[in-house]
Amino acid sequence: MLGKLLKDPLVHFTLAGMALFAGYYAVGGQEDQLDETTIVVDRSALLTFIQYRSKAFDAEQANEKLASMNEQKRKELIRDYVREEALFREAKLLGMMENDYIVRRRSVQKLEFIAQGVAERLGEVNDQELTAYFEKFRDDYYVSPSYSFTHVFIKDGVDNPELRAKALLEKLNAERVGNADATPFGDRFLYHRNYVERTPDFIASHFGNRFKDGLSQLEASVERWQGPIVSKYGLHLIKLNAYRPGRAPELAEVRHQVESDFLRWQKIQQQEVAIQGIVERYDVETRL
Amino acid sequence: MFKPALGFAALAALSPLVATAAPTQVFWGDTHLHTSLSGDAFAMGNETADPDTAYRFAKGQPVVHPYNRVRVQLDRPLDFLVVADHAAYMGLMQQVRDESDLLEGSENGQRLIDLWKNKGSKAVYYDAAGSIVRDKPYQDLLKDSMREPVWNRIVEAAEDNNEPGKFTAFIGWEWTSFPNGANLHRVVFTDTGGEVAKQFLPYSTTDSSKPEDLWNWLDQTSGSTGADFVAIPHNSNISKGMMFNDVDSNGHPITASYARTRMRWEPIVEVTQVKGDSEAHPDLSPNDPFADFETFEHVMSFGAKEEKEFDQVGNYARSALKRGLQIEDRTGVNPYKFGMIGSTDSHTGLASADEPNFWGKFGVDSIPENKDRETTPGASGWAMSAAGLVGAWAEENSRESLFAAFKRKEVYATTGPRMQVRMFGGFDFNESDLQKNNLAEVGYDKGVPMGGDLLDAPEGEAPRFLIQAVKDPVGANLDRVQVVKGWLDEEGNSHEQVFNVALSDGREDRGNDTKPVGSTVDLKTGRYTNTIGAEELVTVWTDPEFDADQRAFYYVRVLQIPTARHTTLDALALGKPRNTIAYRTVIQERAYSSPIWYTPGKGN
Repeated sequence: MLGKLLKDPLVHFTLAGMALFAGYYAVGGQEDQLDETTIVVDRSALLTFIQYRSKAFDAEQANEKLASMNEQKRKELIRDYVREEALFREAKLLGMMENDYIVRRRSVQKLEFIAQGVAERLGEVNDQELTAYFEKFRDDYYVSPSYSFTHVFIKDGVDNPELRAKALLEKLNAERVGNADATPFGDRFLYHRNYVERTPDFIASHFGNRFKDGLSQLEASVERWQGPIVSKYGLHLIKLNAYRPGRAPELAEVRHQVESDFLRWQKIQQQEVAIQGIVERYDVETRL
Repeated sequence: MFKPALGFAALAALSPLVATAAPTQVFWGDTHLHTSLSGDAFAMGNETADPDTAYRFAKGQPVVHPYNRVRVQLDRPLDFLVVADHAAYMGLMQQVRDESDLLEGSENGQRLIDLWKNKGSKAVYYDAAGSIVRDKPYQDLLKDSMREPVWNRIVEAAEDNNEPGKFTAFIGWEWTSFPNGANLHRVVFTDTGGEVAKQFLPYSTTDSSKPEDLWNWLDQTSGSTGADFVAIPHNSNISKGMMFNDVDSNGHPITASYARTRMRWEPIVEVTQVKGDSEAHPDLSPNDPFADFETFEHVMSFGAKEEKEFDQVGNYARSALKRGLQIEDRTGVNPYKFGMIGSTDSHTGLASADEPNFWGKFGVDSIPENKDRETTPGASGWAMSAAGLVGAWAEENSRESLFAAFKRKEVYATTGPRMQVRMFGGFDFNESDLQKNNLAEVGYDKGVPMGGDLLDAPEGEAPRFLIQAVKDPVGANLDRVQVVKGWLDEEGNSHEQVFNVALSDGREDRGNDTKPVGSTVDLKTGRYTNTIGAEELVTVWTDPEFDADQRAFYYVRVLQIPTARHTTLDALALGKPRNTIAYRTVIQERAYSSPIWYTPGKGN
């Protein structure tokens, strides 16, 4: 049980965070005074020191590192630790920690990175969690409805557009003109002749809202030319090959995207949970 | 004559309609975007927007702004993107911040870690950048073991986000050469995928700051791996006259061999971006009243000594195109026969060139309150330009198809808006073509598209250009279409002239005395209305002063009606009188096509 707990990076994080905060901010309690001039070098102090140096909060690894050190290396480590601890305490005594914004920012930043690092190590995707995530954010994967069509355009203000449209419509249907053969008919439109799997918003940006609404009234047919539909530019005869209604896809179809979103989300969550955990250990008194 | 690409088959299966669409369609992209892996981006407020974030944003997904933490999104996604982080010290800031094991044993690495602790990340960036300006890069920070993980991360992000038919993610980087502060930067990108790209590490200015060495590396790497590359010079405007020089890096006059090699790797120049516009300069083009657009002259000296006079001709695209004709006359090969694009050079990981959706060059200048801060030497956030974009005419949205469009220069620049610009050159176009509803087919059938060449003119004929400009579907109307012509006379002197070839609102062409289009911008709100200008301008234009014996080039410039500059919108947001910000209130956004060249004596 304890072993499992010690392997949990979040526990490490919390311990590390507590140690860091205790070190930086719990300055000057009564009991502390007794130890002010004594630096205790024990196994746990050295292990903590090693972990901070390598920024890897892994007790086992630190254990191994300590065990693998020869006399010389160990002496150096102890010397470094004592040196750092002594200077740190001296600085603390001189009040250098207080109101030093660099120390403050640096400390906060450091904790944020530790939190981020912890979160980054949770890189495996578990099926159950992924499904739960997908259900929760299903709306994000909604696929907008789309239209695929060819149009023959009849400009406003030339001849009699309505009559031309009527005659052209009859001709297109009588001659069973296909999408590819519609080129010789009609006037040049500003944008495209063919629209493939385009969303209503996109269509509205090219034709205006009135056209978009008109299009939504048509039934798809690969045989028949329909219309005319009115846009802000003129009249349009439409061969609406396909309409695909909006839909919520299954997980299997968008799994790649969901996985990457899930990992990103999980990372942010873990980081946030860790930071919240620290924040909650404090009582906030507002004296505005 | 246009030939559809083989790749079509795949798309045709998707829908019976695709095969019948116009021969090419326009795809929108940014080939120059920095993320938090660029040292300057990191130091200036982008610590979190990495390549993955950049792709999400370009694809239209919402992301969190790395500096101001607001939710940002593109209302219209892009079709392609090149994440182009500085190859020099790529990802170093993160390694210093994290006191990475990779820096163990590196003296400079440990020194920078201490510097970070004492003076912060910005000091680390300036220290590292300084080593490049002094041309003494820290070799112990350039080990493959340090660079590889960063490069692999960039490659993998591109691979993960590349979706043929939907979105193209090119693998690329920036070669950031600035000898004595002269900007010789190139973005380099490849057509290849991750497996091949992982076989090399991006060539950096720390390897060499000479473009000749870059081309040599591209040649060798291409030979050994099969990857092809395009290198895109940018910010020639702050190159101290060196980008389009008369001489090579060693001061020798440009030779045919130099010109051929340069054109093999650099078919395109980025002429408009956040650090200003490099198409033309008012001093070089005194007869062009529209040449002074987003002129930006803040050389990034980084402590290098200030230069005396330098040659402006080498700084701007139009003068370079002219110089190219002269060098071609002398050596037989034109080293400056390039197409033109725009891109952002944004350092926020956010590819956005819209005035009302502009997030600054860096993180720090993303909010109006901070725009008066200096961001690059001598320039504040106000000086930055909300530009630009690439329009690429291609058969489909894939690495293969878009890369080919860059190589054949069938690409063009806009300063942000998505206006469609087609230009075809030939000798058979006529007025009745304008009535046709399949303009593109007519264009490809009877002529060459932008980026192409016209050879010997038929007896007594002048080149004709079929030009179509259509407004951005959700943007401002068009003021006019112009053709910029440059040519070389018998004495070897180059000339230029700008022709108004299509004007909105039935205005008559009187050269520089043509009636201005006016302005509808409401200075209380920053909004404009499309009550002036045209939605579409089409014309067949014949060069009235054509001489069949003279080398020439022609490109199209399209001007929008006036709209508010981002500074105006920010002044409104801050409640400041707009005259307290010394930049233009309104601007005329524009597009530049790639040129078509006429070369006598090469036909038959």
